[in-house]
Amino acid sequence: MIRFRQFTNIVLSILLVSQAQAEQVIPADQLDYFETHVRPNLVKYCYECHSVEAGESRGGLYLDTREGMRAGGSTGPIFDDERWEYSLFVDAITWNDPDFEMPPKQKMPDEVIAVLTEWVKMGAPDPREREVFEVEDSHIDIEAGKQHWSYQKPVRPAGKSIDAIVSGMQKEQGLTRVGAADAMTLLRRVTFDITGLPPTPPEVTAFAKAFQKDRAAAVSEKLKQLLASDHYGERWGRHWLDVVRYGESSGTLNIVYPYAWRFRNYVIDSFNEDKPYDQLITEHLAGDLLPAETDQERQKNLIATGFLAVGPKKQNEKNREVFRMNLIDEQIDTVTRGFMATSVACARCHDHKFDPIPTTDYYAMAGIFRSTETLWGTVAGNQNHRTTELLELPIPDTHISSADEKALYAQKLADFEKAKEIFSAGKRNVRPDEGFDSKAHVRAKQKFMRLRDELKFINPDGTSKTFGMGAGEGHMENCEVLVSGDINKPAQEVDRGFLQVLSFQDMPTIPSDQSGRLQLAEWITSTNNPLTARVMVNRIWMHLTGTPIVETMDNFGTTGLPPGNQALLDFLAIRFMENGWSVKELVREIVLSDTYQLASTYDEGNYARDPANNTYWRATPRQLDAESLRDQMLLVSGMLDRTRPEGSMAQTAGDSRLGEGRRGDSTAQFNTALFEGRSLYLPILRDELPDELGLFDFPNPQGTIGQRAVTNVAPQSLHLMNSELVQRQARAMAEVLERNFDSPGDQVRNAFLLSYSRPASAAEISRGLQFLREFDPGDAPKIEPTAPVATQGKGKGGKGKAGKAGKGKGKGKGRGMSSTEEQPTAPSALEPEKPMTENQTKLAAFCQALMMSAEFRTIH
Amino acid sequence: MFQNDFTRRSALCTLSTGLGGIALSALTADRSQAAAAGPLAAKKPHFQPRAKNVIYLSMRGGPSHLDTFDYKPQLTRDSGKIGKYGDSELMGSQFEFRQHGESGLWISDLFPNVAKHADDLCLLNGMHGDTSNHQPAVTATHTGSVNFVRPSMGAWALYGLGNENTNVPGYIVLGGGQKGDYGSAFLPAYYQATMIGGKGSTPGPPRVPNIKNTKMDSAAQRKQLDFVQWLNNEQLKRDVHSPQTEGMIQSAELAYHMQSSMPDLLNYETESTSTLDAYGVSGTGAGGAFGKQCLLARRMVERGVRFVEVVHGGWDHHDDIKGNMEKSCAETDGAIAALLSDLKQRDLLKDTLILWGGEFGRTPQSKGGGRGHNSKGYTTWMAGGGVKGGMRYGATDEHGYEAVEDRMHTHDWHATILHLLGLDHEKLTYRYAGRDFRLTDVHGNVAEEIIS
Repeated sequence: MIRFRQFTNIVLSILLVSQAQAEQVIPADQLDYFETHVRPNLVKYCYECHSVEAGESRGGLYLDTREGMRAGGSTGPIFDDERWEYSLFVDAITWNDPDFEMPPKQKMPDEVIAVLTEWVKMGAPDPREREVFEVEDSHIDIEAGKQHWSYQKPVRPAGKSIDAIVSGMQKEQGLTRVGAADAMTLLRRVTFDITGLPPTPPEVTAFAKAFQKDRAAAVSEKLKQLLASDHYGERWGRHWLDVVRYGESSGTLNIVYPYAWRFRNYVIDSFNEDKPYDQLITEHLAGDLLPAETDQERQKNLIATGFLAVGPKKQNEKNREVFRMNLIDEQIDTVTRGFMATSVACARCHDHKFDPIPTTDYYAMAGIFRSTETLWGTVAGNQNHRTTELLELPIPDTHISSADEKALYAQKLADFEKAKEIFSAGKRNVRPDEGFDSKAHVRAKQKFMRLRDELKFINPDGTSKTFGMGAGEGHMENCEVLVSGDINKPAQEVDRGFLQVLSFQDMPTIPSDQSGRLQLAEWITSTNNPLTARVMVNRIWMHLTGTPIVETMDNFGTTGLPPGNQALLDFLAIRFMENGWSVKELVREIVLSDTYQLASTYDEGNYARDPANNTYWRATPRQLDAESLRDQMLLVSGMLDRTRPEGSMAQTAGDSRLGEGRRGDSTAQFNTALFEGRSLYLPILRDELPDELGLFDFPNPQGTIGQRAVTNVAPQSLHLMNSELVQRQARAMAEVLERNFDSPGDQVRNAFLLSYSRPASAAEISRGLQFLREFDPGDAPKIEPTAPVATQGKGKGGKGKAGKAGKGKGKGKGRGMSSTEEQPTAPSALEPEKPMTENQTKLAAFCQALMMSAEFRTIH
Repeated sequence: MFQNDFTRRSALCTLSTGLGGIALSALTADRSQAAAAGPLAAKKPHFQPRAKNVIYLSMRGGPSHLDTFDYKPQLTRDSGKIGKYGDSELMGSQFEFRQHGESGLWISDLFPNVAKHADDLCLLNGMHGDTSNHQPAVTATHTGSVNFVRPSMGAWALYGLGNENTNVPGYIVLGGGQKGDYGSAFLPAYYQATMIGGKGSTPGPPRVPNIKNTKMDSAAQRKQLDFVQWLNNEQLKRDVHSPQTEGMIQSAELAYHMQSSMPDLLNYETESTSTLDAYGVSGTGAGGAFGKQCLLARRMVERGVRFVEVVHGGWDHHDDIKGNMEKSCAETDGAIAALLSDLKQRDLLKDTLILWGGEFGRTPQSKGGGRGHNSKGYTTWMAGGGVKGGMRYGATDEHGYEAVEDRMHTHDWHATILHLLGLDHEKLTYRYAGRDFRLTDVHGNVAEEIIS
């Protein structure tokens, strides 16, 4: 194995470059004035809290460099280019603004204030030179690095099919595959795998019949149906959302992203229409730059760039530059690990220690994102120092404003005007008169800023404006290498570009007037790129078999593990590209293979040699993921609303801090137990995932997750035993059974069929009946019937207190039962809970037992 | 390589009591009997143990050994010079070190309260590891492996020893972190950690979600669970071998018992005011949360939880080492000292091994006012549980950069911990994929010198 033992690049020399000289020549008298009067005073009064040297940057403001002074701090620029005397800097040193009295403990002497003010009036001429470092050329041997298996193009293997390659591997290792799966096992497996839901009893019956007649035809027909279902996009879109670390809040301060759901829906739609994977990536990175013929297409392309914006952020970062580089880092990490299973982020501080990625490659990529403007929105205040505008989308949401909303808008507008008046009056009051109420002034200012932000999101008729998160072209600039990733140690600039180790013929070049995102997409999706297709087929294969070909799914680099079977990986990658990057085609090919359709039968000899099933000698039994487990419960209880809810519950928390926000509601107030939509529509709030997801290994979306952890712990059992969600489903299922079947025998039989997608055995029926006879809830703690609570899913109009951007829309939607279903609808979540009859209580306990059982939670 | 040795029988033996044994026996009348017979029940160690329980105070981010427990006067003298470890200037500690206790251990002023327990501490000054990246290093300190998915040491301990009390989880993590670091990998699923209370920042005792059933009483629940376990055992018969199903059987059983045991365990508010104050439970922010978790850790070992891990983050001090260390140490010093005193007073310290440490330490050279990551030399400490107190074992070079004397790799640390628990790290194996796996892989030496 090639190891690149590189140490941190040595900083060769420190060059002193006078940036000022390059830009403008400062007259000698001003230069003299600066050196005599200004610099000594800045050092004396300001550097203690605002200098690199002191390691301090209160308010993100550096006053020890010309650049720092020009960049300003967390509240924006400190100089007003048009009217120098009104600069924030002057306000601060004259102690005119109660928010900014600098230095905070003691005012500078009047004569110092006078000379500094004079200097500002000159236009703040600043000759201070900037230290520029230089990073020496990397010692990494890129050509040697290219020898690593994953940096070389896939090679077409001798085997002509999945089965040929897999059985070759089994033969080599002396393993014999088990037989094929039976109809019902296979149906349950394939239905979960393609749609994330189990088959319904009528589907089981129909498939079993067809299967008996002609196995191949039955499977292929079923697969066709499943791939055409909209649930396919929900299942596979959700897999993809793990890769692109989709979340509806920022984490850390946890500021809600009320528009993130548009990206979620875009992903689902893209998988449903089987958008070629290369196009999907291109839209993610550069949708805004793609031609669009219609508003619809334009809207979709813009929403696609939400990919760049929905990641985690630490918005309490005061230093704008630090935040910016962290954002870029997060974007680089997701792009490189998500699409190419290559960890580039290590090279932020030094040459990559193991992979052939010099730090200059990192900054070449960083330049692309530095020239990009990322728009994530959110409202300032409450420690949120980093907000942006949002994308305003061409097509308005179809939502009719209510009287309430109009009134609310009017009220906010009136409040805003009032606050503005008080605040402006205070601001004009440069020398505070007697009776000036500085506290009231500060309050008015805060209110002014908050309402100004809030009003941005509402149309005068009270409806929300149609916003999305995303990206656009920014100011074009290359990135300077930062020594050790330190923004205070800039070194030479690097041209925008890509990774050298993954360079090939006909590499795209980035024009100087473009960020390079389009070219980045071109590079990633080139059929010459050895990683992109391999990484995606490995993900697809894992979702269908449970065992990835490359175990380190997000790391194909030298510290990752080699593929268990490279021929298989390359075969799939080449097929994928040849079939126009069609995910559905690849899924179809895998599902139709004998390998996929094996039984999950245990075999002692095989197991002893290959317990992890790396040779695919059987179908690996898999534990259902959080979404499928919950969706299955709702399906068997008849409660599942198969339609896509409008927007997301997360919107009702506003766009300030979750829980602690002035206008935010905490997740505790989202009673997700009452939500009846599919699990992927639950609010995906970072660090605050609903239990039904978080307890069952749904990842907290901090970065790309190729494969989720699979745990099996007591808190999961407690959820299944005691949670409101599960108990509601058990009760609803009992009611469905009771209403549709008269005899306990039929109730038990159908409960098994519903829950396990197979008929019950005689022993199971008899044990089930025995349970129904004997079960007695005993002295259950008496609880009041649950009061009606408005649910917030299903478009039933759960309104946040905020009553602003993106409320649930007041649309009552019918339950989207598919035609194959004959289950009657269950009681609505809005109805109060009626006391159960004795029989219902027993039946509910029985149904819950099925939901708690291992088989319910397993795909065989 | 051992392929032919593997038989179905040996698989059963490794699982110690046979598959789903607990569930089958759970159907019998005597529940406590059933629990005691399960794979989570207490097992005999390899030899006389020195510690029964472990509390691992896991300081995430890499606390600076140079400013706390590894006194380097030469570094102070050379402060500002360019060292031999790169191009940056050396930075001496900005904190005073003093000798404490009869042993005269050098500890900095950052830990005034912990320092009072100097004579109970065994400073491991010669620690070193393989990687200076946080996540892989955290994984390595837990599992011994940087890259592969391997069982965590808590899972190994539980596999080796079982739990003294089967009504509570045997391996509990307080304070969050990544599940993968607390997993059981190929060991049976029921050895993995139960995470409780998230980051612990909400006030009051943590709650285990869904701990109470509002629909049926405990006897009825037992009946329902018996039915579930019957179904699961039918499943297991069909599957012949299914770690997942076995895991579910165990988890459900444990969950049932947790309903009665956990609320009492977590309700620390019944403790005396002086105890609550000592741990700083009412403090706000990370300090209060940590105090609470330390107190809970004591309550857990008291009830027989085998392995408790308390996670405290925020030690990655790349800038302002002074201010940041003051903050992180202040958050933890009082509670750690309280934990040591409390255990001692209850005569539990002799049976409880306390581990303190990060995933690595920090560099002697300065980097933007802070220190960089350093896995070549760092410090952790142990106390109680058969470890010599007032001792310094191992040493780094004159600047604290690299471990040079009595070096202790993560594998050695693991081997020593298992040894104190009465387990031979070379014999505590699990056969998987035809190979016997160990926490220490093919490495690990027990540091005999530190054992009292």
